[in-house]
Amino acid sequence: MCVIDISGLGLKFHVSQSNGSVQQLLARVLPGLDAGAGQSDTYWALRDVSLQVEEGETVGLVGANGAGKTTLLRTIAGVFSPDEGDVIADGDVSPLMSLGVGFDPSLSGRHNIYLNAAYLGLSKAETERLVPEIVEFAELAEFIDRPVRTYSAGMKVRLGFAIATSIEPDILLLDEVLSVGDADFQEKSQRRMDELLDQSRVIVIATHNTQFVEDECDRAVYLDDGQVAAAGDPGAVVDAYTG
Amino acid sequence: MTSLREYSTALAERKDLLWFLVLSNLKSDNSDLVLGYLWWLLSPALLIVSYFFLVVIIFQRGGENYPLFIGIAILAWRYFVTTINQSMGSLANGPAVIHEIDFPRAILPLSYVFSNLVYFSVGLVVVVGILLSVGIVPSPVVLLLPSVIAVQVLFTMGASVFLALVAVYVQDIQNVMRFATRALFFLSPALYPVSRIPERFQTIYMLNPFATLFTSYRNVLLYDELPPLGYLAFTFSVSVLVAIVGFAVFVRYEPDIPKQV
Repeated sequence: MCVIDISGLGLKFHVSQSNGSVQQLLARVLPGLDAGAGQSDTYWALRDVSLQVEEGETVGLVGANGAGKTTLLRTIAGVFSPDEGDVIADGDVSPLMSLGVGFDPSLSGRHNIYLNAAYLGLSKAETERLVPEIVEFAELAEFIDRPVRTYSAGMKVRLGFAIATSIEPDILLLDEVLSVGDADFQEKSQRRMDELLDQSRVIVIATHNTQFVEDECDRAVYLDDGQVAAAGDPGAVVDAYTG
Repeated sequence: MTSLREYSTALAERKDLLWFLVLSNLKSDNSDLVLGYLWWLLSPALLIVSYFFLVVIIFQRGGENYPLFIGIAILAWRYFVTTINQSMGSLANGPAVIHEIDFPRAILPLSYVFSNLVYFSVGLVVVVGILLSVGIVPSPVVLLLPSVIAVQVLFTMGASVFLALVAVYVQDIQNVMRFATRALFFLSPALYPVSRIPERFQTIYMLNPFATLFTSYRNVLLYDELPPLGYLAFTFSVSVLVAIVGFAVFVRYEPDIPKQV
């Protein structure tokens, strides 16, 4: 039983020269009106991507910057809707991509925990239960009721990481986030990551760390310019990528 | 393609997110300013003083209880305008959240519909306090006040969600609306009563939702009269239509939003 089923996925973006002309807007809404923008203004960030991830698998995504790894993760997370093909993700998706997303700097750390967790799909009650653990893990007990704008960069990262990793997701999406925070925090976060890696049903991780892909991933995919250049055995895929 | 019903369910599932966003709006609007929350009352109060000076002292017009007369309308107007202005920025300014997480994006403009409603309600409480202090005791007619507010909320919701979407594609809309709402303000009986409009135009004039809304608010609070029920029913229908169309269009184009901002 597939946890993530992607078939023939295509995702295109329109790159417009002008900043949203009324003509282009009308062209979208009223088919048949020729805006003159045409096909030359679209590019396919992903084309004909297929991937099936089974229960318990860890899949590594490799590729150059701009190849489409982040875009693929975001599509699995539901941020982008496919223009072609299908993406079916069976289960709760937890994106561990940008930490502290939605943080409002003028509000307290505590408030931001609730807000961030709500974005990630948790209810108020569920979050309430997790707050003490989050505060403790992030080592922010003294500061948790102070506005986030008074936090150092490291503190914000610790908080974001603590929140995102306290959820037990079915599908974990990681975008180049393997070690987080300063040296002291790194050991803790590494352990937390290992726990997560054990707990999640499925993990898709985009990374430049080819060693990690070879050691820890069950399968790998090499994305080149939005298309699958190689897929399958991690060793073989890494060779294709680095070769 | 999501249907309106599916979308409403999705929104309902995220009510905690909406709650915290509304709370965030309320707290962060005021946390940085010296006078904090008071600004939301001070701001319309200053407007009232300015218009009073202009209309009553300089032009020597303006009827009885002019400050209350315009104050009620100004409060209701500001609810609408502040909400649509904030809504237009809510998606178009490209909050990082839109690129990271999947959630019903109408929640962003909707959070402003509700946070500003809190301010509007508190403002109304202050108005009632002032009414009592000058000896105007609201009669049972005032029980209709929540219904009038509900009509305005519906209208504002539809307009905010729709405009939030438009702003994603056409950034100019924010400027356009600045002028359009200014015109609408003067075309509405905020600073003057409907009786100033020549009789033969009054019916058309009253088709403006704000003509009915301002008149209704003033009738129940200030004049101990029923709102103009026929026009109110019409405005209610218009508001429902605006809400449905606003959401329908939003839901249709929502998947495209993360690609545009």
